[in-house]
Amino acid sequence: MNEPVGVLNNMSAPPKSVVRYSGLSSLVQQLGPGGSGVTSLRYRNHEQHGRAIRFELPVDFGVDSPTDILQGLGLQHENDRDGSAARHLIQLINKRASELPLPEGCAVVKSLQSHPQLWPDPLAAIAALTKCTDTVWLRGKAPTLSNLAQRRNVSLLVPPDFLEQLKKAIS
Amino acid sequence: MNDVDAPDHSGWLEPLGLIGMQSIEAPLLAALVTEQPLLLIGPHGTAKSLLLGRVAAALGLSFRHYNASLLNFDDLVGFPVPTPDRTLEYLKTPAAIWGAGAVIFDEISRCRPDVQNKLFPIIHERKVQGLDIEGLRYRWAAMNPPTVGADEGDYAGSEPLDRALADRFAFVVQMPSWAAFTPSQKLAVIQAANRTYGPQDASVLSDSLYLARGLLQALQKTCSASAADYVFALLPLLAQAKLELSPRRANMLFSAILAVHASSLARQPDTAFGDSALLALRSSLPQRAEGIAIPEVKLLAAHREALRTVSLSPHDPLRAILATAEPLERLKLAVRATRLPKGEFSRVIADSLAQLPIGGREAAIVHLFETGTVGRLNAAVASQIGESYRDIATPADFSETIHASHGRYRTWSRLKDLLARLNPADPRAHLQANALAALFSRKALQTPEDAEGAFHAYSQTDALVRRT
Repeated sequence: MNEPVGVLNNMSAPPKSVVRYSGLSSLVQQLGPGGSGVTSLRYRNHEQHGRAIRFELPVDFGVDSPTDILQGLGLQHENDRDGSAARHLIQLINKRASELPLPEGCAVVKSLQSHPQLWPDPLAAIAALTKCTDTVWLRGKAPTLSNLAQRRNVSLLVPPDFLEQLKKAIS
Repeated sequence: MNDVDAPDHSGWLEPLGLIGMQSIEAPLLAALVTEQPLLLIGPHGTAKSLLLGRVAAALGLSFRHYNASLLNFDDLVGFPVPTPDRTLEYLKTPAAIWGAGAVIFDEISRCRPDVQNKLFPIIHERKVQGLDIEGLRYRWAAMNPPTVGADEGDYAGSEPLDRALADRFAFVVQMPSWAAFTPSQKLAVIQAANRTYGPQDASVLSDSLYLARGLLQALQKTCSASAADYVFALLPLLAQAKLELSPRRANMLFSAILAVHASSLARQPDTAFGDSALLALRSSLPQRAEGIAIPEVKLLAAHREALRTVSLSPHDPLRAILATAEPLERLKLAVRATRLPKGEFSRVIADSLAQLPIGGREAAIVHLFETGTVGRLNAAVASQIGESYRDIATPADFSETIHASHGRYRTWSRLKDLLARLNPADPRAHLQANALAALFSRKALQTPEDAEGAFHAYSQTDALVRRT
C-alpha cells in the first residue's frame, strides 16, 4: 500500500523559534561596549525580602535628658541627680522592647515614609532607636540613650518567616 | 651588665657551654626524658651539632655522629660477612651504629631519598635491616631550614624532609636565632673557649633529668586528662589553620606536653600547664621539617581555644563545637546550642563566618537573620554582619563603567550567566543574586572563577543551613 508523505521536513532550514531561559539575568543591564570599548554595567533588583517597619518619634518629643523623655511619656520625675530617672527609663525601654512582636534581631534599613508605622507610641520608637547600631536592632542590647540625639526614626526589616507573628500581634 | 641581661645559670645548657638556648631547654630535656627522636632545625652556625655532641658527651654516651649527606649505608652497618651456618653477620667497624647509645644524623635534609628510607627504621624503631640495635637510646638529627619551590633561599641543598620521616620525630625544635640573643649572650658566644666537655659538667643536667623523670611519672597520673582534652580540641582547630596533624602525631603531642611540662616544672615549679602545652606544640610540628610555614597567629589562636576546653565540663556544648573542624558544622552546632552564653556564641559565629568561603558566608548570614538567631549575637558581631544582610535583603541598585578588556568585565559576564540559572519566581533566588552582585560591587569577586565559586558556595550553604 502506498501512502502520501504527510509532512515534508527541510532539515537545512533554521528553527522558527528559540527557547532561552534567562532566569534572573534580567537584573543585569549592560550598555556597550561601543567603539571605545567602554561598557556601562548596572545591577538593579527592586525585590525586598521581608517587610520594613518604621518607628518614629513625634516631632516635638524632647530627648535632652532622661527626665525630659519621661516627661514626654507622661511620667513625672523631678531630677536625675542619682541616676534614678535613667534607670527607670531603661526599665521601661526594656519592657517595651520585650513586647514588640519582632525577631530578637533585625536589620536596620534605609527609613522611608512609605514604610508602615505599626506602633506609633513614642516608647516603641525609643525602644527601637536606643537598641540599634547603624546596621542592626537587637532586643537584648542595653539601650543607648544618646542614639536619640542622633536620629528620630528608624526602619527595621522583618524577615518573611516572622511576618505571620507580626500579623497576629497587630490583629 | 643589668639584671635582665645577666646570664641565666639555673638551666642545664649553660654549664655545658651552650649559650642563649633557654627557650628550647624544656623540649630538649623532654626529648632526653622520653628518649624519643629529636630533630633540630636551624641555619648554619646555630650550634645544632655542637649541642647534640655535648649532650651526648655529658651523658657519657657512646655516640656516632654521621653526616647524612655523605653517608654510605655500609658505614652504618659495617661489612656483611658469611658465617659458618650460612647466615650473614655484620663486621662491626668503629664507625658502625652497633653499640651506640646515641646517634646523630647531621644534615639529614641533604641525604638521598634511598638513604633517608634506610634511616627511617633506625629513627622510628631502633632497628637496622630488621635487627634491633641493642643499647641505642637516643636518635637525634639536625638540618638547615628546607628550601621549598622556587624560593631561592640560602640552603638550596636542604630539601624538605619526607612527610613520613618528619612525622617520626617526636620533637622538632627550631634553634633560637642569633637576633634573639642578649648582648651578653652574644659576647659569651664570641669569646667561647674551645674546650672539651664531659660527664664532669653534667651535674645540673643529671639533676634536671632525675627531677623531670619523677615529675613526669606524677603528671601522667594527674595531668593526662587535661593534656588529652587539649590535644582533642587542638587538632580540628589546627586543621582549620591548614595544619593537619596525623593521629600518630596527636599521640606524640600528648606525650610531649606531659614531658615538656615535667621538664619546665623541674626548672620553674610555678610553670603554668598552658605555657608548657604551647611550648610542646611549637616543638612538635613536623611541618617545620617539610618547609611548610607555620602561621604563628593561627597557631596561638588554636592553642588558646584548645586550652579553654581543658576547663570545660564534659557536657559543655562548647567542647563539641570547638572539636568540629568544618566551619559550617560549627556554626550549626552553635545555633542549636541555645544555652551558649552570648560572648561564646558570638565568638564561634564570627570565627566560623570568617572561615567560610565567599558566597557561603553570605548564605550563612542570611540564615542568621532569617531565623532571628542574630539576636543572640553581641552588638559588635551583629553590626558587622548586618551590613552584608542589608545589601542582600533590600532593593539593590549599583552601576559601574569599565572597559571591555578589563578582567572585571569577564567576571561580570560570568555573573550574568550564573544569574540566568536562578528562578525569578523564587524569592530566595533574589537573595542569592543580590549577594553575588554585592560581592561584585565590593570587588570581592576578581575573576570568573571567583564568581562561579561564590555562586556554588552560596547554593550549597543555603541548602545545608535550611535542612537543619
